[in-house]
Amino acid sequence: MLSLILPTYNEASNLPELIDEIEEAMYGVPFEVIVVDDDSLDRTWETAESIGNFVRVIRRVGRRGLSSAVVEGFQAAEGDVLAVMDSDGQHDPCVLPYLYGEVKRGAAVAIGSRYVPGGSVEGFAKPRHFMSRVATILAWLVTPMRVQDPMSGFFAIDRNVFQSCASALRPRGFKILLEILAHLPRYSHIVEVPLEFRKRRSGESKLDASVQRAYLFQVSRLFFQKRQGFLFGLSVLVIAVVLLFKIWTIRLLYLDHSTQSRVSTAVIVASDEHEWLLSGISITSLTNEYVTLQYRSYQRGKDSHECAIVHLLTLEIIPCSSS
Amino acid sequence: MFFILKHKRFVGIVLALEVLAVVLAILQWHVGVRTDEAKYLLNIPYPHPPFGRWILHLLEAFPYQEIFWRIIFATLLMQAVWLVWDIGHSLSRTHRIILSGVWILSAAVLLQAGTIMMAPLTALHGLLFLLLLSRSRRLKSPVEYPGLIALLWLAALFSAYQAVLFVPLVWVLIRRSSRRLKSPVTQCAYVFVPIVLLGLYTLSNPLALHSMFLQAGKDIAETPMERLLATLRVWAIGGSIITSVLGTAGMCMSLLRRIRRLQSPVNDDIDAIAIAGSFFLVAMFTFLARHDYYAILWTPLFIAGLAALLQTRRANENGAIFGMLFLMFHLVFLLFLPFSLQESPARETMRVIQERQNGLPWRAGTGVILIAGAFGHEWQYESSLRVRRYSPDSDLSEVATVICLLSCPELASRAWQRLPNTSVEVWVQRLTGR
Repeated sequence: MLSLILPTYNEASNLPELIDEIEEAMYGVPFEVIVVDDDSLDRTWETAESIGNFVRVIRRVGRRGLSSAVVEGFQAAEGDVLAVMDSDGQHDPCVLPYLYGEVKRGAAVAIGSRYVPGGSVEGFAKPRHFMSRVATILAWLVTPMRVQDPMSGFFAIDRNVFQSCASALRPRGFKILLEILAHLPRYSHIVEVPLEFRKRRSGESKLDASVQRAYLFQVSRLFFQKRQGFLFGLSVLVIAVVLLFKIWTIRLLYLDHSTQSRVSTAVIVASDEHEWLLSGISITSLTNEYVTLQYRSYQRGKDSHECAIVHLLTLEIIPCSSS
Repeated sequence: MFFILKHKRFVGIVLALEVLAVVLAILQWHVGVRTDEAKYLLNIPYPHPPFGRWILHLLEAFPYQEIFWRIIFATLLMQAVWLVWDIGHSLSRTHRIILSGVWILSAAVLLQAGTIMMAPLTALHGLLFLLLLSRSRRLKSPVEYPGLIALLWLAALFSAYQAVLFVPLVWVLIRRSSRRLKSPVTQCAYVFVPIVLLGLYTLSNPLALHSMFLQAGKDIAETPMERLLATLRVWAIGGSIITSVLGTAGMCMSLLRRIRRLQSPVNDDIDAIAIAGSFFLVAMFTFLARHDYYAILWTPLFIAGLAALLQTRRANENGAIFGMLFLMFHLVFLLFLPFSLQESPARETMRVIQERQNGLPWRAGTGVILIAGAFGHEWQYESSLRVRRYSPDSDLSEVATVICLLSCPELASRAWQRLPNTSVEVWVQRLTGR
């Protein structure tokens, strides 16, 4: 059975016509509709309750957000295939049977996609198209594969797949599909079905600057969540390589006690000879016969460097430039 | 930050804290740079690992490097009160205000705010770990970013060795990320690989190793009782004694509760073990290295202990009065601690030298300063000229000034004159015409 979630906020005027279209499109397919309403001012929940036996209503008081409404609807659903679509008439219900069929045939997620061959967008101005493409490219940083429409609000998911990632989801903002895709295993079977995205029938769009900010934050959060182990591992590797190289350079200090005491003496001799401060001296190379010392004056803004090579047995000091 | 901007009524408090931070920074600036501060500002490669001091030294060429970082450090300590506010999330409003007031008014925080030392930075790391523990417990959610916590842990360790004292807190945090990080081997790697890297760093820097041995051998003659009394002093400063007592009591109470619930601990109890573990490590560390500036390492733990204690107490109508008296005690305690606002000898001496050089354009900004006797790095920092060690055999031909922290009678000759009105001996070459 398909459980279709319709998250609503002030969609009372769009809902009855939409439900009729859904009923017609899903003829012969077992389904239920769950309207999840965020306590609309136009009492959308009342309109939904009056519609039909196959419509259940969840009225959320004191809770807002599209993503959380979808997750709550999924959790209340009884079907083995869960789907969601917009309630403003922009998504064509005729695509629903195709999404349902793909999931029944083994897809983890089937997406109604505006950007695959056969799909289209009606009424998008060029700037919005551009923003949509940029957002899609950003989403590829966090999705297991290059989905063409990761921001689609029209998709179906296998119930078991949803339950496997439900506890990891952080349903904030508008893009629940992105959140789900980011938590799917790498080689999940994802199918995109062409969708002709229609103009909104009535009411106002909820896409504004705060939604765009929330999206950027969501992508950043998912990016760091997925790559935190890699970043840690890379940092550790780089630091370890640098340190091991330095330790290798001065290994004789630790392997040979007599070298240790000779180097100590050499440092003091060089320090006395050149009036160096001990804290400014570092060892740049060490062999059985010679130690190369580098001195930094640590003068604010005008650091100077000096270098000397000291013979460990004779304690003869020669400048590095003459070696 | 978003929380503060969203709730505009907190903006006034943020600004007031900032004013306090700037005042404390200016007080410290007046005293002058300490030897440890100079090491960090100049990125001198001991005693601590390089990360923190590398960031500080990036502004070395900036003339206002010192005051800039003093204000930043003071700001971090003062604004950290919002972390404390969040730790006290489950307390009543009165108790939350008391807890936050304790952080701002504790002697350790007030004395350290505005210094450029690693101890306050480590304390802030500890406070952050405590906050993350508190949030994961409160929200009943596993930790989502173990990798980022491990990176923060790595940064903390590579800024100061003493960060290792908070390993119990980090261990519990990483273990609580078991949904993201299923393998116990990976969890152990996140916690212990940074410590191993710290060990490698120490081996790669013989100077750091040498300074550790020097420090360890320094107070070897002190008796255990002397060490214990010094440790108690530092413990008392950490929480202005009253919060030290209550914070410690709160920690013990939480630990006893954990022991009673041996078979079925809850998250609260596991946190109690971690906090007690860090408490023990900080105590051991203070026993070995009893500097007053380590008092601030105790303060985050006292905050956690006090929060645990306040959770068992209901706020009543007298709570606000008791709270005010409690916080005032912290200020009174501060009056009993020695704090000098006298300018350091290094700053005073270099200022006098610079004033003299300013009147002599043919000598200004050239030459070398030699210093006789053992001296700290603050002399290098305060000097605009190169600083070297003086010995009686030194070649004085390029030398502008000799500073004698031990007496240099051999310089009393026609070529050199001693500057008056300096707290140490300062010899400059006599002017013999231009």
